[in-house]
Amino acid sequence: MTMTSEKKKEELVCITCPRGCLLTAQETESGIEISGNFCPRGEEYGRQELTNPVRVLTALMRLQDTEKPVSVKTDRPVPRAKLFECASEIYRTHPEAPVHRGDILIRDLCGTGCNVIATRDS
Amino acid sequence: MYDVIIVGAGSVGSAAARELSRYRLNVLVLEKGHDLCAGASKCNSGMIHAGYDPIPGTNEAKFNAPGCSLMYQICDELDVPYLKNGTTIFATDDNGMKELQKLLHYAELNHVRAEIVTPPGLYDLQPDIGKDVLGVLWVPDGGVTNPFSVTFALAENAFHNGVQFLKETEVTHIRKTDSGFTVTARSTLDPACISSQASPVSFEETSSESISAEDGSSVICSFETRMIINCAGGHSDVINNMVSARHFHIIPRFGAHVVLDRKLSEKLTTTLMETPHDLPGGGHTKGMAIIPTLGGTMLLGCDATEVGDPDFTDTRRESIEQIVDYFKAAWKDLPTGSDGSPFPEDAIISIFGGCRPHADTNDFVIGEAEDAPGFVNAGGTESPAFTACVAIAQHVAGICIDRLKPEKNPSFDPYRKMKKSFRDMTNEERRAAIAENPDYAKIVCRCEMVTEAEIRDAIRRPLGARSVSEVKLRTRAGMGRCQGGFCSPRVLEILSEELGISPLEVTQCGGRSTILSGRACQGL
Amino acid sequence: MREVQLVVIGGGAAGMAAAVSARRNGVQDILILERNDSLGGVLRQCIHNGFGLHRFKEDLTGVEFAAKYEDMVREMQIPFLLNTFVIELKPDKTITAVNPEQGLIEIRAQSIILAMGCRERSRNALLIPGARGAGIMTAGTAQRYLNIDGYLPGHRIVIVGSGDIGLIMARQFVLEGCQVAAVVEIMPWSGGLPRNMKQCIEDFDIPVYYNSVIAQVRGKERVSSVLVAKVDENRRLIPGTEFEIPCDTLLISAGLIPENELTEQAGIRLSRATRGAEVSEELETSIPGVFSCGNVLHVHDLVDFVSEEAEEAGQNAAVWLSENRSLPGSTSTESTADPSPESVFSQSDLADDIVPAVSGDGVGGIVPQFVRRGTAKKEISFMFRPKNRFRDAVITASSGRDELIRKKAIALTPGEMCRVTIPAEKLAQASEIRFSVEGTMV
Repeated sequence: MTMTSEKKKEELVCITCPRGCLLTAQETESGIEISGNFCPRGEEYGRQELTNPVRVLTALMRLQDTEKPVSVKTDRPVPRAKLFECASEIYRTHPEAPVHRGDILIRDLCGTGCNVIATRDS
Repeated sequence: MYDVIIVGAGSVGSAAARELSRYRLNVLVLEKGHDLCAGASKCNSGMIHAGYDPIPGTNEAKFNAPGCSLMYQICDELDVPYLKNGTTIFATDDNGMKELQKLLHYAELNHVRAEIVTPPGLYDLQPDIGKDVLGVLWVPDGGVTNPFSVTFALAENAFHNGVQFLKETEVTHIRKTDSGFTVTARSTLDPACISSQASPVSFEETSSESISAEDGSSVICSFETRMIINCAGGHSDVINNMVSARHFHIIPRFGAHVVLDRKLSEKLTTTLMETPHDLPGGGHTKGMAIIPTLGGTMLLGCDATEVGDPDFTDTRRESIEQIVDYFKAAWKDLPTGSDGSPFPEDAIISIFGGCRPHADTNDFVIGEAEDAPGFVNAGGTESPAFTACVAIAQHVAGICIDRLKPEKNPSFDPYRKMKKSFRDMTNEERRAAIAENPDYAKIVCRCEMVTEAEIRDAIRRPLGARSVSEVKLRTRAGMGRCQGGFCSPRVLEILSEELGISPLEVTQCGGRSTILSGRACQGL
Repeated sequence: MREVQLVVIGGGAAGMAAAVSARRNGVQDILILERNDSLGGVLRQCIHNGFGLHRFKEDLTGVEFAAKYEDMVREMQIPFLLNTFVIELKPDKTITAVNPEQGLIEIRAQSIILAMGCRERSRNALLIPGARGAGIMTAGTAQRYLNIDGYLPGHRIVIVGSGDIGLIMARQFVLEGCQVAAVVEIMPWSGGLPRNMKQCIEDFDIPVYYNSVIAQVRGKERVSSVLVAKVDENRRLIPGTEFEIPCDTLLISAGLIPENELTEQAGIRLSRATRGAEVSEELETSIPGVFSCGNVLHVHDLVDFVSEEAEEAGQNAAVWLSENRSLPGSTSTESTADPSPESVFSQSDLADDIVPAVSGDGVGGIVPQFVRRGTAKKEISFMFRPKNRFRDAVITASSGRDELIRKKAIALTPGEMCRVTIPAEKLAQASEIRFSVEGTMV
C-alpha cells in the first residue's frame, strides 16, 4: 500500500486501536487528506502509514544459561522496513538472567532510538 | 532357538503370546510398528460382536461366538473395562424385517442368543427409539470394550509371563531350515536394545546404499525358531506367501468412524445398528452402528471402501460424508434424535479410520499351512477377529502346543491388576489416590480428566508408551473434545522427562513424526 | 466442607477482573480457582501487543495486561489456588476440586463466577480429511510451544482459518524466520480483526485463499503438503479446483468454543447460539447466584471487553451477595439443562417477567439473552456478532413496530463484535428486543 507518484485514493484499516476504522487516504495538492477516522490518532496513523509505516515489535529473547526464553517488546514502534533487522538483533542478544518485567534489555535498537524491554519476569 | 515366533502384536498376536505363555516355551513377538496395537486393532470400534451374523460354517462363525465369551473372561482377568450392553439391529421397512429373520436364523445356527423384539416391548429395551422402527434383533451378549486396552493388557500379561517383544522390527524373509525357520527382520531399534530384549542369531548393519537417507538407520537381524504364528493382519498374506505356496491375498477394506462428544450417550442403552442392506459399503460392513464407548463418547460408523494399502489410515472425505449423511437421515430413528433434534454436527470431535484385513478367501485364514509344517496362520483377520482374538489364539497356540508338547508354566499368572482411571474413581478413591501419589491431583487432559500419575504410569509400564499418541491410546489423554490442544504440550514434556530425551525428539507416533522442529530465536 | 462467599472458577483475564471488581464492591471472602501453575490463562502466551487500549488506555502485550490484573489480585490479597482443577460443579453450588497440595477439596459457595474461557476447534472437529501424522495443531497450541516453551513446531506453515490467533502466529513465525505459505479461509472474508489482517498478513505479503478449504492433508509420518480447493456458495468443495501447497505444518485457527462442561454439569441452561450460559442483564445464569463472563460466556474479539464484562459480573455478584446474604448457601436447583435457542421463551414460566433479546436479520449470538422487567440497571449493553460483512450498515433494536435504538456503522465484520447500549426505560413496554443489521453486504 504505497502511494505512487500519481494522485491516488487508498483505503486502509487503522491499527491504532481495535476499533479498526476504515480510513480513506486521498492525495491532494496540499498533501494527504485522511477521512473515516473516529479519532485524531487515526489521522496521524494514516499519514504515518503512507509515509513511513511503523510497528511495535514483540518477540522472544534467549537469556544466558536459561532454558525458556523471555518475551520482549520495543517501547515504541519501529519502522516497518526495519522489523527483520530489529528481530535479528533481538535474537543475537542474550542478556544474563534473571530479568524482570520492564527491564531494558537493548538500548537504541538498530539505531531506531527504541529500547527493547522485557514484558515478563524470567 | 525360539520355540515360537509370533509375527504381529495386534489383538490376535498378543492373545496368542499370552496363550503360549501358559507353557514353558521360548516365545518372541515381532511387531513392525513403533507400538503394539498399531494396525487394524488400533482402528477398531471395540465392539464385542456376539456372533449372530457370520455365515454359519465359516471360520468367522466358528470363532466369533466362543471368542465373545472369552473376551469377557479375559477382560475380567486382565482388569479391562467393558460394557455388556447388548446389540440392537433395527429395521425400518419390510426388507429390513426380512433381513432380521435371516440374522435370527444365523444366530440360531451359530449358537448365539437372539430374539426379534417389536413395539411395545421394544420401548422397554431401548427407550426413545424412533417410531418408524418396526422391530429389532436383540442380541444380549453383544458389548463394547476398548481394543487398545485389550491388546495392551494381553501383551503386558504375556510379557509378565515371559514372552519377549520387539517393536519396530519388520519381518522381511522367512527361510525353512531342518529344525524350523530362520526369520530375518529389519529393525530400527539399535542393536544393543535388540540384544537386551531378544536373542537374535545374527546382526547386520544395513549398507548405506540399500536404504535412502530418509529411512534412518536400521539393522537386519535373524532369529531361529521351531514354529511361526502369522498374526500380521493386513500383511498376513505377505508373511504367508514367504513360506507357503498356498497363497492368499489381503484386500484392505477401509472404514472410518466419527466420534461424538460425551454428552449424548446417556440416551443409548444398547449399541444400535441398522440392517446392512442398502447402506454405503453394502454387505462389506456389519451395518452402520452407533456405539457407546467406555469413555462416554459415541462412535458412528463405519463404511467400507477398498484401498490398496493395508496401512492406510488417512481420513477420507468420502467416508466422512457417507457416514454423516447416513446419520443425518437415520437420526430420527435413533434414541438420540427421535425427539426431533437434528444431527449434532457440532458435537463431532474426531474422525479415525483404518483397514480391515479382508482375505480373498472371504474368511479368516486359520491353521497350519499344508505345505509348511510349523507355520501357522491366523490371517485375514477382519471383523469379527478382534472379538474372536482369544478364541483364534487358543486354536493356533493349541497347534503349537500339540507339536512342541511343552510343560506347563508353573508361574503363569493370568491376572493383571490395573488401577481404576481417575475419571472413574469415586471422590473417596480419588482422595486416597492423591494421598498416595500427588501426581493424581495434576489433571493433564482436562477433557478426559487424565492425571499426570496415569500418564507417567503409561510410559513406565512394560511395553509402555514412547510417543504422544501412544500415551493417548493408553490413557485417553488427547482423545476428548479439544483433541490434545491443551494437554499435548504437557504430555510431550512428561515424555521428554521420562524417556530422557530432548523435547525436539519426542514424536507423535514414532519414526520421523517429531512434533517440534527447532528452537525459537535462532535468527533469520 | 469449606464455605466461601464467592468462588471464581478460572484465573485468566475474566476471572481476575471479576474477583478484583467483586472485592472493590465489598466482597471480602473470595477464592479464585486456577488450573494452571500461574494466573493469566491464555494471556500468558500472548506476547504480542494490542491489549489494554480500552481498559488501560495503554498499548500492552497480553503478558503485561495479565500482569496488571495479577498485581491487583495480589495487592488486594485476594486468595487464589493454583494447579487447582475443578472436577465437579453441582447445582447447589458445591464445588469439588483437586490440587497436589490439598488433595481433594470441597467448597460450598454462596455465589460463583464462571470464567473458564474457551478452547479452539480442532482439525478433527473441522473434518479436514487426509493424513494423521505429526505437524497438525491448533494455532493456540503452537503459540504455547513457541511462547512458553521456546520451540518452533515447523518451518513451512499453512494456516487454516483466519482467526486472530492464527494471524498473530503467522506474523510471529515470519519474524522467527519461518515461511507462512498460505492462510486458507472457507468464508469470503477474514474471521479476524481487520487490524490483524493488516499488520500480520498484508505487511508480510502472506497469500490468503478465501472461499477455500483443505481438501486433503498429505504426508505419512509428518505433513508434507496440503491440497487446497475452492468451495461453492454452500461451502461444498468444488472438485477439480485443488492445488498443492508444500508445508511441514498445518495450523488450525478456525473458531473458539466456550468451555462449558462444568456449566452443563451443574444443569445451567445454555444458549445454542453462543454455546455459553443463558444470562440476564446481570450476567446471571439460570442458577441464582451463579454468574458467567468472558470467553466462557461468549467468545470475545478483545480481552479488554472480557475484563469489562468480568468486572460487571464481579459487581453484580457483590450486589447479589449483599441482597441474599441472609439466605442459606444453597438456593434454587430448579434449572433445566435443555439448551434452548435464544429466542424461545414461550415455555418459560418467566415469560412475563423478562424481555428476550432476539436475533433478527444478520445478527447472531446476543448476550445477554434476556432482560428482567424492572431491572435496577439504567442501561443495558448488548453484544453480538454480525453474520456477514457489511458496509454502511444500520443496527437496529426493535420491539414489534417500535424502534428502540438505531445506530450507524461504516463497516461491520463477523470478526468484530457489535456493542449496543439501550436505556432500560425504553424496555419497560417492550415485548422483545429484536436486533437486526442492514447494509450493503460486501
